[in-house]
Amino acid sequence: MKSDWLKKALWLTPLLLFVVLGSLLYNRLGAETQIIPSQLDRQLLPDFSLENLNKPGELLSAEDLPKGPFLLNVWASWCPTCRIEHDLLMDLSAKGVPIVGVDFQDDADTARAYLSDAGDPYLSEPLSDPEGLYAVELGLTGTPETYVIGSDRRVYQHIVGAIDPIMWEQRIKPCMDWLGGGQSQQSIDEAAPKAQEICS
Amino acid sequence: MVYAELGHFLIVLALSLCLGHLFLGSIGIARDRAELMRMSERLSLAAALAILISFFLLIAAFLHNDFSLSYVAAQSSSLTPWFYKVSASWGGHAGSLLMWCAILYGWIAALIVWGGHLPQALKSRIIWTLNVVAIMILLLLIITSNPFERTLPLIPVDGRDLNPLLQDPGLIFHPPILYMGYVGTSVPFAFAIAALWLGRVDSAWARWMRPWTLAAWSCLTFGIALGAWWAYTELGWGGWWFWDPVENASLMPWLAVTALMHSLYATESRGVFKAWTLLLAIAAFSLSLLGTFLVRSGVLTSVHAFASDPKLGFFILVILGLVVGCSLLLYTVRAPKLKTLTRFELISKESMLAYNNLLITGALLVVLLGTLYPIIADGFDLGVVSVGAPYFNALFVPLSWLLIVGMTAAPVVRWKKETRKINKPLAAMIGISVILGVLTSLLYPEFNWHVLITWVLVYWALCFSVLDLYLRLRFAPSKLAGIRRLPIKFYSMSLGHLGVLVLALGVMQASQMSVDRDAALRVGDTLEIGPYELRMEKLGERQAQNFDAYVAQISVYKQGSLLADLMPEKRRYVVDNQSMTEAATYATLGSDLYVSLGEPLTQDGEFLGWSVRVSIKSGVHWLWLGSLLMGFGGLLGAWDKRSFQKAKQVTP
Repeated sequence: MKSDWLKKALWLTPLLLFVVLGSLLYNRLGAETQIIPSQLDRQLLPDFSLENLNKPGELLSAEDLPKGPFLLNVWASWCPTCRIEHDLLMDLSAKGVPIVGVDFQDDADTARAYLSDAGDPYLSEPLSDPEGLYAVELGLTGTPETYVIGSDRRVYQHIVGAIDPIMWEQRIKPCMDWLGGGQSQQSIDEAAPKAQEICS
Repeated sequence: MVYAELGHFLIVLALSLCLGHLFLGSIGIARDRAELMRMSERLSLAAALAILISFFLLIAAFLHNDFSLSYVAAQSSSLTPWFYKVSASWGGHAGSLLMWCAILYGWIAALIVWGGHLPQALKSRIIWTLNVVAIMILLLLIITSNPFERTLPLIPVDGRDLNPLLQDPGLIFHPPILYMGYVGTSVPFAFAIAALWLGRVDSAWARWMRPWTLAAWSCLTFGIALGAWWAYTELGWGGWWFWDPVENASLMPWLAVTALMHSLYATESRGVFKAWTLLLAIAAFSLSLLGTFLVRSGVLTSVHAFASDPKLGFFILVILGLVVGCSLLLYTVRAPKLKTLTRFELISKESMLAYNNLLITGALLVVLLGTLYPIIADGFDLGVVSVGAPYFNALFVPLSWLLIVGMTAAPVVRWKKETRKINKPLAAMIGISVILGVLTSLLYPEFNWHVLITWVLVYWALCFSVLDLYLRLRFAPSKLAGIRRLPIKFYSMSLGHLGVLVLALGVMQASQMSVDRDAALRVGDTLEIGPYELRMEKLGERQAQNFDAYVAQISVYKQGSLLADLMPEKRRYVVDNQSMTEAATYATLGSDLYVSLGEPLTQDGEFLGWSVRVSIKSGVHWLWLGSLLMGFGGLLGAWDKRSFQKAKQVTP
């Protein structure tokens, strides 16, 4: 009798697997796939020592980052989607949004040419991550990706793919405005629910 | 022009014809009335004609620059060259769905026309199943994504042009052929449903199903290869496979059909693995539908996802749930009743085919899990991450190696039980392939495990092919007569397997032996890479219909003699102001010299030259050649006349 049951269960497996898969797919419909909870959610931005793209040999570290909240944008000259995003980055930079660029797995010459051609939206000198080692620490899944960093150097938002004006207005700007509003005096635990609400 | 309305009308007409078929066909099948079944077939043919005309009307709308259709305005412009206007008609979601329908009807019509040898009960059930699928897709087309929608009264003066990434010869043919494969998997699926419905799986059924399975598989093979070729020539950095969700979506049905072909062969020859064959046939089509869902619903982030919309995703999910859910329910109820009476030993062709199926299914699960990982992780709150190429490579490559181990050995092994002494020949085979493999890998500049393993496996597989041929010709009066008498099946299989070997070598070469260099070149500058010397001769500009381009002329010399002039381009498309790289290649038997033009470089106001990326891409033609061999192998097998003959009258 028992083996009979087992047999029946075995024949049922494909259907059951499909039901599980179907409900997973349903669950995912319409879900946000671009702003994702970062592995660094509200963690300190990992320390780094990366070369200055414009001055080979000069190393930059977290000391050189802006003091207030800023965007950390990982890009590359070989990445077509980065080009699509680039105009918006130029606009934001003109509006005074601080953007720090990390050039990912790129050839330095090509990357410099790219910036001199398309414009340089990055506030400080662009950083170069030719081997992509820092990207691993950031939990990068591809290029372009953008991280919202608070003045406490913690990661508040992680955006996969190109950002667009609507996403900027509705999702990223509120988060950055809130971060700029002096929340860093609060302890992280107090601020956490608010951060969760606004930034993710 | 009225053709847009006519096109829309024809889609609705096709839907009503389908519903008519559903009504008549169902009664015909339930009452077993042959004349009703045949009449319903005619309705299907009429629907096929309607959809085909509607599809041509959409293409006509593109050629006439009818920007009052919002789909045309979004996909094309008056500057787009005519052949890209044609391909733009399937470059977006709505048009590609219409093409999906047209191709499904192509397959249905082919079945009706060439399926005269099928028993009416089986044939009607197959067409009934395909018709139900068609109804759902037509509803999807009419409700969510009508390509003939007008943007009245505000008609745009010009369209937005086809995405420049899609303006490539590869992309004219890639979607139709890939879709023929995707949609083609519905035919073996319908065969499986009909068999479950009738409760009968026999050798004749498997033989009739084979050509359709092989044809769909060949289309998938060609389609995937064209996609890789497009990525290689158009995306500008010489990659050809990225394990992107959209690519995986096409690879999964391909793997399922590959497993199906082999399992079907065992079912046809020995009556084994019946339930498994049916499950694979259902799985292959389900994975095609899943691919459609993944690409269009926006549940995964992908560089290729061209039209994503959660509302549409919901509709496709409903279709997916209905089609796959009902099929699997039918399977759960009916499949356990299929009896297999034959037995086989551990060393036999049956168990070799089971080993093959186990490995391919394993590879399929690897790809499926990797692709869906973000969704699974989301569902179980594991945090949202996506797994990348390292995961796929680490698991997929060893599985392919294991597959090659058994691939050409299986044809030599006997059905049921291997009785011959195999230890000595096996040891000789291992010895020969290891020695040849080591010797070949010594020809490479440095030692590399991938190179060694791949070559040993290739020699191993070739040894078995030679043995297979020898065993088949052993008793023939003359070798030539023997070769001519070999069945088509043998040629089909050999071509396919040879293709796999060539492909494996290509993958190994391309991933392990390629060299890249980046440089800034001014006119007159030279650059050395491998055996070649490159010289930038001049830099010009040219204007085409819808783009302006910088064209570099770069001469390739080898030991002082001129081999070729390469003309890589940097294009700027006028309408959407996107720039694109058009690489140029110099091809030799073993490798491509790949040159792509970057941006002009300046430093402190001083012009340094144009950035140029030069690569020696080893083995890429072998990828294309291997895929071609595999695809033609499949087509050759589909050609087999025996699969289009009636079942012999055998007394039960």
